[in-house]
Amino acid sequence: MSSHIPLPKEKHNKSKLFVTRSHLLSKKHEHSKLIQTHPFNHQISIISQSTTVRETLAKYIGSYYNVTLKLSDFIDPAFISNYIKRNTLIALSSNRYIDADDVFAIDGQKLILSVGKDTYETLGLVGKSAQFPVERGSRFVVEIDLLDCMDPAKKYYQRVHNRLNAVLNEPMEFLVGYFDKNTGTPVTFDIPGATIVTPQVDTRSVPNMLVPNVPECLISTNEQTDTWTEHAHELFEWIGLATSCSQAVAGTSDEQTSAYTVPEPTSKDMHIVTVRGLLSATAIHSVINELVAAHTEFYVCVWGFDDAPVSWNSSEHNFYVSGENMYAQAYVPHKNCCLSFQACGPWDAFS
Amino acid sequence: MFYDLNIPLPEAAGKAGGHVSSQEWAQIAQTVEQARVLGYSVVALNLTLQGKLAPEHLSVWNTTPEFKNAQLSWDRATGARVGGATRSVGRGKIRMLRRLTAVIGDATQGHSLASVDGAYDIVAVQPTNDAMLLAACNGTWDAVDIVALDMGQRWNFVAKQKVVTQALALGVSLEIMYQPALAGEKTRQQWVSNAAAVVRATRGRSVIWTSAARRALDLRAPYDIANLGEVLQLNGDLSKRALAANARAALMHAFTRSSTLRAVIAPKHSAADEPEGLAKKARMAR
Repeated sequence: MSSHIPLPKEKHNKSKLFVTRSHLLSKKHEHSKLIQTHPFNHQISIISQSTTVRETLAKYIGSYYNVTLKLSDFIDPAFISNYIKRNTLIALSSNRYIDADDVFAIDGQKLILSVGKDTYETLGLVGKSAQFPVERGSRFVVEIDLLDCMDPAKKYYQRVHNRLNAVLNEPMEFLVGYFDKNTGTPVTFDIPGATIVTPQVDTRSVPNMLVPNVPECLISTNEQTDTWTEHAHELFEWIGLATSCSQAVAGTSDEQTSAYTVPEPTSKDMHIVTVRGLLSATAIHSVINELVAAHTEFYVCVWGFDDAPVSWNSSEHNFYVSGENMYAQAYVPHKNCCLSFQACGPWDAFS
Repeated sequence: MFYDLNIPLPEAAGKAGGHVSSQEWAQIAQTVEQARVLGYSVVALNLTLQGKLAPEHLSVWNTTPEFKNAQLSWDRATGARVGGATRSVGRGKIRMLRRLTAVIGDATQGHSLASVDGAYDIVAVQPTNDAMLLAACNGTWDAVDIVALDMGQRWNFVAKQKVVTQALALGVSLEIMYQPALAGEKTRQQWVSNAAAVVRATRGRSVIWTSAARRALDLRAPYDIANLGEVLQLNGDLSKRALAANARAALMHAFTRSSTLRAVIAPKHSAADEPEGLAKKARMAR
């Protein structure tokens, strides 16, 4: 195949991994901001020696709901005052693909409509051209601040209400999480027709798991030398293998089928707890705070929804050939250190 | 939305007096359903005809059966087109369009396409030599939306960039069908060569991926096609555009050409033009 074809340059074609080292006692709280600014989470895995992780998770992470609602129901003043303003409501349209369908979501404050060109041209609401796909004009994002300007007497509200009723008036299925603002624990969402869903919890114990020693150079410096980068990659790779319950880290793999070796391994009895559902960022933060207070090393991996319209800090997110927006963290409490790894797909504005 | 603008009808349907049997319709229905499951929102049933277009070529649509989970762009009873180009597709449904592909060996055959007069949603031409490719690309024939090239056969012409660029400037798309890539070794080799030539000539722009799938097993999911495009140096973004935005642009080109006055004025389709409305009209007229 000829390689001299001058095809357009690819601006957003590579997944990216951001590695951050943060001090647990620092005022910046970078490790906390990373968690709290990522609203749409669907899976968490915690790897730890502690046997009480499941109970800690159960204290903060609970049920969510399947609801069929119209979009205009979300902007109803009674709905906003009863739900949006009181606690944190996260909603994501079900069974809709961000690169093929119109996707609707609430990140706790804004109603986000990520719509295709045809829908946007008939919708009649002001939005902005989405960054992804890279070719502008095929996708648009409309954001409606539910905490502001949603006064029925104002023209803006009437306009939004009329257009949603005229164009997007069919009831749609949503995953809805309704959580306490401070702790992230689930709160009763008493909308008629809401079906409660319990998150799926898996626990697995791995005796004599091969756990790498977190290298001193990762903990003590931020200087990105080749060695530092290599160690960071190895740690991130190990976390991914561990959450997948790989035989390579369990020490049971065959040398002829797996060339992977754990760097500087120590054999420990570890427990992996995985929860799947619609998870509150605040709840995840509460869980991690409690585990940090217990002063044991642990590793966390959180995956975001591939079809969420936003990732960190309301950055636009889309699906290229993958839509990962996940992060992993390695906590070393006795050294007050946290290593964070944020993995973004190619079409993610955070990168 | 993902589009597949080439699900072919049987070859016999493209001949004068040709028809599609109920078993063949059943196979087409199975293919359309598989396309819906794979994530396609819009498909086009393609009638390929050799030579000049005649009115009896439209009769093949009279035997259209009912398709499950599908919104047809034509009325099954009367054959008349309904709806706009980009009418929204209901959740869980697939929109079906009608496409005509004329295999052109003679310039006069291309001029007969103007008599299609809006009966088909998309019109494609398949040139068989250099002169016909030039005519298809330079606007000699008004009624052309897609230039289709047989990807599985050796061409007796060269797809030059100068010629193809004229088509792109007119909004005409070039089609890459991937079914030959799933066929035998020789056909695959030829497919790679031909598809690479199209990508080279178009620089990845205004290319549309289609399946040309005669059965459900020949269909591939959009992301598999994005991976296949890497072989041709079409990155994932360009491949997804070829399945979505470019295909939509081809559809809009066809709609603008056939249903608007100078792309400024278009008729507004009322509820009476919907299939249910047309059937009701037909019943009341009896």
